[in-house]
Amino acid sequence: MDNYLKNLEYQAIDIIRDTVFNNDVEKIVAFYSIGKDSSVLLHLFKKAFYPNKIPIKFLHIDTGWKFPEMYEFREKIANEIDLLIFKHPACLNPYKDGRNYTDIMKTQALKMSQEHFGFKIAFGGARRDEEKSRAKERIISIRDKNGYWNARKQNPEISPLYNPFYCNDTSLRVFPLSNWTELDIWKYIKEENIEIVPIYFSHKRKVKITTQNNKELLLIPQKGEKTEELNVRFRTLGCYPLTGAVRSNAKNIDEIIKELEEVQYSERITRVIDYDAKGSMEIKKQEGYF
Amino acid sequence: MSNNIFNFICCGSVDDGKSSLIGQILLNTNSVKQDVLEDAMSASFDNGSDFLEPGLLLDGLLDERKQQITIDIAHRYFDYNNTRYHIYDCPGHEQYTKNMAIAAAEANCAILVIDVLKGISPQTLKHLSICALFQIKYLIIALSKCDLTTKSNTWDENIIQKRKQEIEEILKQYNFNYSIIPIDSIHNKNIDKVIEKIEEYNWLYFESKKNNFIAHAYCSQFCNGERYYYLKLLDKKEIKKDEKLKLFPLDKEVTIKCDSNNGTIQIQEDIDIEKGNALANVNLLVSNKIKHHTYWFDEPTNEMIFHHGTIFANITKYTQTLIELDKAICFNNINDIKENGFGIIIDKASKKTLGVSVFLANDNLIKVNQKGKIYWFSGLSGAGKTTQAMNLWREFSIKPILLDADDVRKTINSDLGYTKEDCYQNIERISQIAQLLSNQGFNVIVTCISKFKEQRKEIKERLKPNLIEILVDKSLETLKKNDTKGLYNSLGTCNMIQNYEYGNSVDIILNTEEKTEKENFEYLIAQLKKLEAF
Repeated sequence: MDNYLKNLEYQAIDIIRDTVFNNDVEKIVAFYSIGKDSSVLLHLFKKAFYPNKIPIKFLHIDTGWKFPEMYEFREKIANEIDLLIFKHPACLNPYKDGRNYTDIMKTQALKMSQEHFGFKIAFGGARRDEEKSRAKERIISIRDKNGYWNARKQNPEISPLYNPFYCNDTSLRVFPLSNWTELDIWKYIKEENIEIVPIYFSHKRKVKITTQNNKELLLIPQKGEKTEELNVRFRTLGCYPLTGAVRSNAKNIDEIIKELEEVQYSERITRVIDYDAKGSMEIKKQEGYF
Repeated sequence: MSNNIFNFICCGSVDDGKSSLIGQILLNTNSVKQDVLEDAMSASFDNGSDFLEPGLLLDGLLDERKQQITIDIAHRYFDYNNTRYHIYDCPGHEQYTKNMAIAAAEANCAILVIDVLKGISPQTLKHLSICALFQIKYLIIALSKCDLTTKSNTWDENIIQKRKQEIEEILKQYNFNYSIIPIDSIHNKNIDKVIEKIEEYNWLYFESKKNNFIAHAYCSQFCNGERYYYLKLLDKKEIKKDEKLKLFPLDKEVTIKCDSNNGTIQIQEDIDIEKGNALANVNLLVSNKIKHHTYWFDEPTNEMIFHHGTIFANITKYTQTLIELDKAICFNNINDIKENGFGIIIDKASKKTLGVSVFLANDNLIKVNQKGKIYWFSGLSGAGKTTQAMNLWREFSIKPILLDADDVRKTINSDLGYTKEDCYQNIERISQIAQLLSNQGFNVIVTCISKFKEQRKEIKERLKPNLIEILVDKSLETLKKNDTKGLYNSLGTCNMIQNYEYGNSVDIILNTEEKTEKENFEYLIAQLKKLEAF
């Protein structure tokens, strides 16, 4: 493995161990979104505690609107690890409920689940290169009692001396993949032979061609909409009404890596949600989103 | 990509143009994706500018964009010529200095941006001292906004030159490897030079980095009756079977049982490794009393926790220079091994991180380092005595006294010429001074041709066992060929230099003819360790 990737791997393992070995494991959870970053995070957890089992639980916040291939994959993973599933009782519809959908089905659900299970520390697979406000966030990030993030009240953090403690009215979000880029994730998946949801690879699919900010966005069609069959793959996976596909012939990891080395746009152009307003991720995060 | 990750910070006073410089570096290294660029463009227009403000590629928080200042560190990554660079864009505002200090603690190199019109500000000096505190060795001073030195976008060399001199004057009190580059980020001038310099410092950093291995133990766990130890590695690498490492604080050697690539090991010996113990291939200090300098992010409180390695200890006593803990930690002086040379202080009640403490020359260290040794480098002029001597000098945290024959000749021995008697007398006096200092416990490094065999023998007898004689050896033929100082080809001095009398036994020979500076230096340190003189 490349030295720099090995460094990122060890750093992530340190962060996982610092947090888990110095806290009550019953209070810790790792969010599992079924996506590629989650797959890498899960792999790093296995590696961090090998030869023993991962001592903490994983949790999937379900919205009911994930791709069928994701649910299939989740079934498989559930056999390997201690996986909890939580779904907000409101059952909103992304087509109808717009911004409320993400707020309730994701942000509120996330906070509710933490309260429900009593978790104080939550791991996530977020990376700093995903979004501008993420680039400003600490690896171990403090949230107040409402789960809110305050960019001006972040704890000073000096790698590799992480502070893994919370107090009564704070909780922690921990991001071991903070310093990884999208390309690093793929290179690591290749090196370590990590299993991922198959629709990350190119396949034939009927899509609705639309545009967003003058860029093409290939969406999953609703009934009766005009479609075209194309070779596509997904760069990110989430709720299918909010996730765009990209045109691609990349059938294996090497081809994906090659594609990414030449790609002009970052992966977030495939997410419908990011374009609500400028800085929307930051606002969502302040409100308690991951 | 095969290299490690090179961390560098961009710091300097507010509005001196840090974010613009980094934005431009990202653009020049093709590290900005199209949609990010478009986003920054539209933000630039929103701000009323008619061209891209490179700074807007960086500032990510809504407040930052609105106020056009940087509040917290932005982390950016780019790959360039087979290296991963991690940039920390630091805030320049005084109230956010702590965020700059956080970044400095992790950095290998710093770019300090100074507005060429404003020059050095108090905030610039503060950042400089923080860089020095955290042992950043490589410094690039970017003199920004040079386009504003005249009304026509051309550069006023007089102003630039004046700034350079002021900065050089201040840098005299520090020990940075530095260079000063005038730039203009908006028009992309000299940014390529900054990037070149970063690459050079990256290369120098990894070239000079020693092959240290230090790991702290989290805990042990059993699996199928076998005992596994979970470690936190400071230098991330794989651990090989049969590798031998020293266990601290027990000071015992342990042997690795199987290859490991995840920081979990088994050992062959029947020894317990406890939480907070350290494994290393270098010497560590072990103590619960630590001399420190602490940079505070927040006010100290009554009950504080100290974190270093895998240990969280209670602070039992705190003064400005000394921290006492309820557990011992395994550490290094920050000058020796930066990665193992600092800890953080956490408030027990609020769990906030209050400060970062760098470990300074410790009492233990003084004992280890200052033994009244005399390191006597002999050999022909131009063979590399001073180079090796200076390399050794840098290794000490408490600096030895340097006695260079050329310097001594200019001062105490200015009455002496180059006759045989005078040369003899020159060396004699140097040896007397060295003896005097050594007797008082100071380490002394002497660099002196010392060509007379008999005299060397006599001095050695007299100063035994404190004297270590190191011959820096290069053949006369090669010296004549590469005669940069013009010593060997002028008639006056050739006779004096040529007859270095070989023959008696020396402690260490450094062959500078065939081996590189680095090889020789590693050999020197290894030999000195064997002689228990380092």
